[in-house]
Parts: sequence; structure tokens; C-alpha cells
Amino acid sequence: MSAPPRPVLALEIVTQDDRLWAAGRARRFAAELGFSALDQARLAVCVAELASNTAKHAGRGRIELSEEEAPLRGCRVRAEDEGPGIACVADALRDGFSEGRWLTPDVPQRERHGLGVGLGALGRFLRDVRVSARPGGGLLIEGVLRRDP
Amino acid sequence: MAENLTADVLLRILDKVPGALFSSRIDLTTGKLDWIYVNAKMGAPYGVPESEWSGDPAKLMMRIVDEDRAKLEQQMGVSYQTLAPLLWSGRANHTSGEIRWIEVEAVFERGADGTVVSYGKMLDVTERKRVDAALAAAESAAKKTEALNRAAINALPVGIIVMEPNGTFPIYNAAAGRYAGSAPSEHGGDLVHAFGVFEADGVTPFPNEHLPLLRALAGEEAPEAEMVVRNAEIPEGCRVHVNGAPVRDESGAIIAGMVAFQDITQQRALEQELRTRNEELASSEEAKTALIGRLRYAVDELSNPILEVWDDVLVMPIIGVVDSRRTADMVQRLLAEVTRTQASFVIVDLTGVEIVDTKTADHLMKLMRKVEIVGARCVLTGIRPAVSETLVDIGVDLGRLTTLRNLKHGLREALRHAKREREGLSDLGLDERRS
Repeated sequence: MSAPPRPVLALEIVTQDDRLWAAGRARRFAAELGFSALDQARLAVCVAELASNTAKHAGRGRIELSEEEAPLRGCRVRAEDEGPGIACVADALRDGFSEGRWLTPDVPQRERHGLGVGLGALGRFLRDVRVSARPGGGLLIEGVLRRDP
Repeated sequence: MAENLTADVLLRILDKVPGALFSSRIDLTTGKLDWIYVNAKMGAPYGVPESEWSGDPAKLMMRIVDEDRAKLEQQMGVSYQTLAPLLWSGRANHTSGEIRWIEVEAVFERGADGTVVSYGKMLDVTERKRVDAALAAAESAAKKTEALNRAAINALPVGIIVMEPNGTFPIYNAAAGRYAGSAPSEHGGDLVHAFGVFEADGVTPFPNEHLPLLRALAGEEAPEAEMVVRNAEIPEGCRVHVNGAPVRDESGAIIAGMVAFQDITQQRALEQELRTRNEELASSEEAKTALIGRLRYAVDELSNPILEVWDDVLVMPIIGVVDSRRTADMVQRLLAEVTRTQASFVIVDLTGVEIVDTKTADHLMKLMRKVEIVGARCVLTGIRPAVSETLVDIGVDLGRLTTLRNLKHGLREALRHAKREREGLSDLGLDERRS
């Protein structure tokens, strides 16, 4: 007897405005999986941040969500694009780092496009986060959003 | 003449001379033939020893291939009558079974007694014939190759023209005829008029010095141009793309110029069609974008009402998502409304917002700051617990903002604010506001 196919949601990101649509789809997907309201919101914010990052740096990309049972129970998030990638992967996942540099006080306010917390948030929400360069160029970000027991 | 030239010496010389010499006498009335002299080498091409044929010349004659012998006999008959010199060549069956070619050359004179005397020589020309045959075969092979080359060039789907410095066209293939008409016999170097060549616009005459054919002849390695050829044979005109190259001999000297050209009329027409279609697509895309814009406006109008719920108090409930375009619209309408109503208190209610990411939070903070700059207090109400948690988790600091639990608390705060303001004003004796 084979296990029923795991639910998967694939989201194509084409513009910056797709991020909230994608986040909405992600929240509904999480609700269908029986996630708590908080986990739904967390998954939605993750997807929004990833989509925003993809649209900004790569123009377009794809985010895939799939239910995960083991070793962590939750939802696997996979975002891939064909953009220029990130020079320093470790820095990108920390707060205060935006658009390839640290937002130190000497950076003028008008040049700060984001709050500098985007991808850093992922590090707090997702477990086992892996950021890697795709073989054909571009970035692959992967992680698992663990659901409350 | 040398004094010591004896008959012996002469016979030895005759032996050394290449070929076999002979002299004979024939009595035309009896047909009897006698050798006056015949060299022993006469039998060599036939492989017949002298003892067998010296008494009977017919023995050699019989070894000649039948049809060649018939011809020889016929020629000999003529020469006996007219004394015309004889030149014949034909095949002899060597006793080894090999065929050898022999050539006989002879002159004749009539003797006093009415007989005819011949003087001749016979050569074995087998080697020469073999060389001739090889040469002929090579020549025919070369002709075949040449014919094949010409046929191939002629069959090429591109026009090929080769012009020598004297203005002649040794190569002018069929496609060239189709795209440019037949080769002009005389042009005096003015190919543009001879062919009817125009610039890509189809009107301006093409300058001769820019023609790739003439540029190639002048030594330019890869001249290239697009032009229109229009003449009596091609009245509708043909748009061609031309590539040229000089043709050099082994020493590298230019011996001709050549051009290869293609009819690009259809290609250009296709490109034009593609452009038109792209434009049509773009305009239909534009129409769609405009429609989406109108729909968005309608949705925005539905989802972002701005309500004046009390004197000087505005409420803007936000439902759904807060993207940058929608934010810009909200800011504009809210600021206009604040100014119009002279509102001093604005409540932005987020009960209908399920997702707030960093960008949305950023938009909201800017929205509230802008409202405060035009002189109204602004508070956020109705933040959902999940939104609040994620906001804190992703590290968004809403500390500078006043947030209240729900719309009711917001309204209470608004009234308190209005009261404070009135009291402040009356303390100063400036309360002129309506009650």
C-alpha cells in the first residue's frame, strides 16, 4: 500500500507584487495542513520574504511548499531563482544586512530600501536552512518550517 | 658524305635507328610484293621470328587486328594508285596475346617497269598510345569535374557571381540570374546602372564604389551590403544581402572578385510581420494592463473605505494585502481626506489583514508617519495575534507606534485625545471650536 502523495504547492514569482499573493496561498495551504494560526502566519511571512527577495534580485523564480513528516514535522520551503546569487550566504541570513551590505549608520536613510531584516527572519522561522548556488546559476534557499506540536 | 661509308656501315646504321625500315616493290598487274630491304626488327611487335616472315610478308599482315588491317589495305591501295604518302596506325596481336600499337609511314614512287616502290618505316607506338590514353582519360576526368563544379555552382540556392578584372563574368549561376537578371554583356565598370542596384530604401541609386563585388576585386576581404536589384528582368525588385570575397591565385594575386547573395525579400517581410504582431501583442497587453488597473481601482475603492466616524476622527480599515501600489493609493487618499475633514485623529485598523511581512510593516510605518506630519495622531488597531508574533519574530520594531487592541479601544482613545485637545485649548482661552 503506497502512501498518498504529499500535498505540494508551487508558486511562480514574477513581480514584487506576487509576494503577498504567494503569501496568501501559502497561508491557505498551511491552514489545509492543519497548522495553527501562528504557524500559518509564519509560513506566509517566510514565503513573502522569499518571494520579495526573488523578485528583487532575480526578477523571477519559484517557491515550492511541501508537507514534511520526518525528521521535522512541518512544511518544507524551497525557493529557487536564476538570479546573480548572494556573495556571502552567511551574512545574508543576519539582520541589518540588506542588498549586499551592512546597514551601518553611515549608510544614508534614503538608500535603505528595506528594513534589513528580510532573509534574517527566515533564519528564525525555518530550521535546517540551506542557502546554496544552483548548478546553472542562481540561488536555492531551502528550509523547514516546524509546526507546533 | 663520309668517304668510308660502306654498305655494311649503312646496314648497321639502319639497324640502330629506332623502328624498322623497309622498302618493297609491288607489281600492280600480278599483285606480287617483294622486299627490297626489310629490317629484322619488323617482326618485333608481333613476336614472330624473322625466319617465319622474311619469305612471306603476309604472315605479319595477318597478325594485325582485322578492322585495322582492312583500313591499311585500303590506304595502301590508294597510295599504289596515286603515290600519296601513307600514314597508318593500328593494333597487332603479339604472339604473347598482348595487343601492341604500330605506326607505319611510307612514301611511294613508280619504277620504269610500272611497278610501285615503297620506302617506309614502322614504329612500335604502344607506349605512346598508353600515355595518350592516360592523358585523354585525365582530360575527360578533369572535364567531368569541371562540369560537376559548374553544375553544383549553378544549383546553389545563393546567387554566385565571379567577375574578372576585365569585367567579364566567368561564373554566373542560375540563382544570380533569378535575383539579379542575366549578366550584362557590357557595363564599362558601371555595374550599378547595368544591374539596376539601389540602396536598401529601394530608391537611392547604390554607389558603384560600395558594391561588394568591386570592393572584393579591389582587395577588401569580406565586403557586405544589403541592396535592392530592379531591372527589366526583375521589375518588382529583389532585396538581396551580398557577401563578397577576393579570388586569388596561388601566389596570392587577386584574379577575380566574387559575391554570394541571397534573396531576403521574404525574410524582411517576415521580420516586418513579426514586428507588427509584437506591436499588436504589446498594445493588447497594454489594454489588459489598463483593465487590471481599473479593476484594482474598483477593488481598492471597495476594500479601503475611509470613514469619518466622529468629529475629527477618521477610520481606515484595511482588508487584504498591503502592496506598494496599494499603499501609495492609500496614502494619497488618506492624506487628502485628513486635510479635507481637518481630522485630528486617524485609526488604521488591521483586523482584515492576515499577513504582515517586513515590506508591509515598512509601508504601514511610513503611512502613519506621513499622517502625523500633516498634523493628525495616528494609531494602529486590530493587529491579529499571529501577525503580532511574526512581526516581533522577524524583528520589526513597532515601538514608535501607538497600537491598540481593537477599533473600540481606538475610538475611546480618539475621544480622549479630542477631550485633551479641547481642554488644552480652553486653558489657553482659545476654544472656538464647535461643541
